[in-house]
Amino acid sequence: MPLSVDQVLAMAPDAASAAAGRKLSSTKSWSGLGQNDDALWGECKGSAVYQVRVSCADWSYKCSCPSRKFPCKHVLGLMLMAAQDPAALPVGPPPQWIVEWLEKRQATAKARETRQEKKKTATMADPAAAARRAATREKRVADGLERLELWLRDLARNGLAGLEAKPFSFWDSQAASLVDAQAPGLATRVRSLAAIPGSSPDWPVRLAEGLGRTALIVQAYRRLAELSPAMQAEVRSLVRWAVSQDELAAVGEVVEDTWSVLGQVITDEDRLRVQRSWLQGRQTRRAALILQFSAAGAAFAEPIVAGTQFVGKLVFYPGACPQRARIVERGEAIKLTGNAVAAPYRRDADATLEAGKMPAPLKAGEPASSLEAGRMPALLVGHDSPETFLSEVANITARNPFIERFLCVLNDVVPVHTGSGQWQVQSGNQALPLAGDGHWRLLALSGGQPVDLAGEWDGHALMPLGVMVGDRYELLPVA
Amino acid sequence: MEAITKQLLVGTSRLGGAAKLEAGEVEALLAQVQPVDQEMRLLLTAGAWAAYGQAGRKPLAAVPLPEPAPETDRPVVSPRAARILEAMFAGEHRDLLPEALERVCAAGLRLPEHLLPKALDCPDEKYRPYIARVLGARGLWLSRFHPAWAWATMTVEAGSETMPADAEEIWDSGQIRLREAVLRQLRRQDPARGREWLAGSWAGEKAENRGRLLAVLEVGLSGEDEAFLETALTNRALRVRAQAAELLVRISGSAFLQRLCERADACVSFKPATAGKITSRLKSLIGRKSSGELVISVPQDVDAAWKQEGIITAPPQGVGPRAWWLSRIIGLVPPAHWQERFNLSPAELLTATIAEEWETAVLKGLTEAATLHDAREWFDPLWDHWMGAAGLRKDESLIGTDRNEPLGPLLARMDPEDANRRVEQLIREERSTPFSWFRGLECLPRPWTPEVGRAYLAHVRDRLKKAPRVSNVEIQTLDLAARALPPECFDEALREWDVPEGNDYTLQYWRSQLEKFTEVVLIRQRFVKEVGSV
Repeated sequence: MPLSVDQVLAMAPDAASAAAGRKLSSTKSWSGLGQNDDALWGECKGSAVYQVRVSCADWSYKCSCPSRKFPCKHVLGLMLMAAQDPAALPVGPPPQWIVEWLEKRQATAKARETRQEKKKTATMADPAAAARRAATREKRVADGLERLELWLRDLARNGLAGLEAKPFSFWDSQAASLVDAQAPGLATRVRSLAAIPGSSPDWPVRLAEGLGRTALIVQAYRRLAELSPAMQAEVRSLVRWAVSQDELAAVGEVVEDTWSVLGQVITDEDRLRVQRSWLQGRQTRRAALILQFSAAGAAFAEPIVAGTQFVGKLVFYPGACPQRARIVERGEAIKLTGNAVAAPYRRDADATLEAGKMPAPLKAGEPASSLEAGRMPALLVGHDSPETFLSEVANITARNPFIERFLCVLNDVVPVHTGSGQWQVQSGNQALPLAGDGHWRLLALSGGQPVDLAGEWDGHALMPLGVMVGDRYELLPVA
Repeated sequence: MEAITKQLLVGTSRLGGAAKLEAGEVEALLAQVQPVDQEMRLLLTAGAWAAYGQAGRKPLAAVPLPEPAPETDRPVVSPRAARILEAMFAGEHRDLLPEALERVCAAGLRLPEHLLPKALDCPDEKYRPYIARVLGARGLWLSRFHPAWAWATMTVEAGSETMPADAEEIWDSGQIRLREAVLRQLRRQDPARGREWLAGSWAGEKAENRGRLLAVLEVGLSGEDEAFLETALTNRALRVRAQAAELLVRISGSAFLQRLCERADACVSFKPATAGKITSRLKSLIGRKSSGELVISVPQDVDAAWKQEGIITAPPQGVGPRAWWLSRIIGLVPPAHWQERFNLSPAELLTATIAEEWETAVLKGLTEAATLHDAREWFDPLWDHWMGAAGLRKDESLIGTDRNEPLGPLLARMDPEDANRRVEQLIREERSTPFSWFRGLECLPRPWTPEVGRAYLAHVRDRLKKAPRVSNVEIQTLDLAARALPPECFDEALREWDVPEGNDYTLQYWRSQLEKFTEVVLIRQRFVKEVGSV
């Protein structure tokens, strides 16, 4: 069973679900448990009997319960049981409802492919209609930006003081108007600004920055034609009418690698949940950000589990310094370890190898070309000082001033709780501030020794996502 | 950026149209964007500065690094065990923590790093001594960075073999539990100094702490403590006085003990058996040979000094005041005193005839005295006597409802092997005794011995089979048993329980309690499997 309990718990939408899932992770609430290479299944007795199924290929799941939480406690319970005690789920032939589910999934995937094919041919068939559609869209976006600019001006004229007393609807109605204008990227941005007023002592600066950046995007979009093609793509995706999958497949850069999911940040913006997953290629060292949105408590479309890795292909959204990506193809998710066997992953072998049997990890910075068959470079290879990381941030910002978040991988840094109650990670005489408070688990894991660390840098502070402890990659709770 | 932010906060309408921008690069950039009003200029400048700020961020200065955690440490528990503990720390069956942590400690293991913050945050003080022992060097190291976790080091030091270096600091400002531990430690090494510490702080101690701290003087108790204990006898709180009295009677030759014995002697005398007496002949017929008669004379009212010296307390409900006084005074006198005075063995004393109205009070007193003075040669005769007395005195159900029943403490004092054997016998015999088997189970050290566990399970299964609808007592013990059964009995405990079909209240009670029982046993079984049943 490649998923660990921690990873399953990390998938829980909230603490209550995790606790409920834990309660259901003993066989006594279950009947008809089983598994095979493709799926896990079982029937859970709640207020009714629910059929619970989980695909082993990508950890997508389905439960017949009416819960609005995804995954629901039944799914979590089943996965926890499989992680804790695989023997509780005997290997055997799947019941009819599992067979049907798997077949239906395959059929849906096929249908999607044919639909895309059709769409492609349709678009090619009628270029005039496509152009017409594009023009209408442009007009709508332009109108939306007009309204946004007016709103921004009003803010600047009346002042930001007092905004902390404004209801969410103040922001949300502007965001809704942007959604109508087919500028969902800006809509999300405006909604996320709503959380800033009053949130911290320095909120006016943060809000000024956020509004300023929004104004810059509006300005940049107006002058799109003057920008380089890469920047054009970038600005478009910030305003974001969704880049269609076909378009992305046509222009985006596809990178194949073993991708480690180093961490995940989920933010709740009223009815919209945003998931940021940070991935890094084991060979290419490319950082990738996978953004997913879900409305009204629905599940995220693509199940991405922090602390796992998979062999697969990502396609990067075009832009200057492409960072955002989506998964186009992937193998089975396996647990992250400092050194894991390269593809193909054998199902019969435990994904977590015993430390003693492992080939020695490569030294930090050792070029990937020194790879031998079956050997992977060390999991976390990054910057060895805050300064080099910050200069990379400067470089990227110079090429693309609109990037605001960065994957930060640091080697050999010591987490410190300073006398004044601040947290930072240190290397030599330099330090980076940590975001938030309560990094006690990180401190406990480090023991005051230098560690390799992955986190998200938001331009101000670092939110630690995971840390290497010996050969294990430990996820950290995201505050 | 600060200047820009300030202007944005106020708003251009109040700036009088004179927004000041930071000169330089940004101005030049803005010049390319035409036409823009001052609101937009302000916003665009803020945006540009945000990007500049992001690109120009400098590392912070490092602070001096604290000493890292020691390299060598105990090994950590397995991931599965860690998950069970994690759930317990999160509040699921938290009451199982002491046993679980004790097993971790006994196996020479410690908590894994990721659990340390949760363990150190544990709000319930009563678990802290258990937690402190499995923190390992890493956990102690971590605790030093958080003021709220200072208890960890103190607890470890207070519980260690040697006197902690900051013992005095703990004594002066620590929590009462830690202060008790330090005082106990000091009493072991230097009883006089321990007494001086307590005497020094005595006047300033809170009333509720005095009794607890005074009780610690039991360690290293000697005649030197007498003077201090005598002053404690004048305390306003009866609880403190009673505690002082219980200590003073254990100092042989203390003035208090002498006063007490004189008072007791005035209440109890012995008349050897005369051959012709009918009761003794009758008793010898049924196998109980009376050695004579204990003659009791309790005063109608007690001397105020009795009260002052903590000898008597208010009688519990349903007990006559004179009977209560009698049992209290006998309960303090060393049982050896009677042996000497009447020249009788414990068994002989117990078979002496006593007027019916006093018999229970005398028995209770003697049992309490045997427990207090650890008079082991009395344990067996006393127990047997109580058990034998059952048939005779069925009406007197002093035990079971009486919270002051003396057999529980006696059982707890006994050699564990004896105690277990006796309770096992109680369960097996299933007869009416003044001391119930389930009360006995409560008093046994945990976990129970496998023999007790098996006897218990056999009994409960038998009751479930034969009389499921009238077994409330058995159902109520399941909660205790789930936590006290030894690992050897887990399999037997988890074997299918057949509750008959039906919806009566009792049957549903059986089902719900058995479900909880099974859940707890399963958790314990999983944990033992992971950590080893040391």
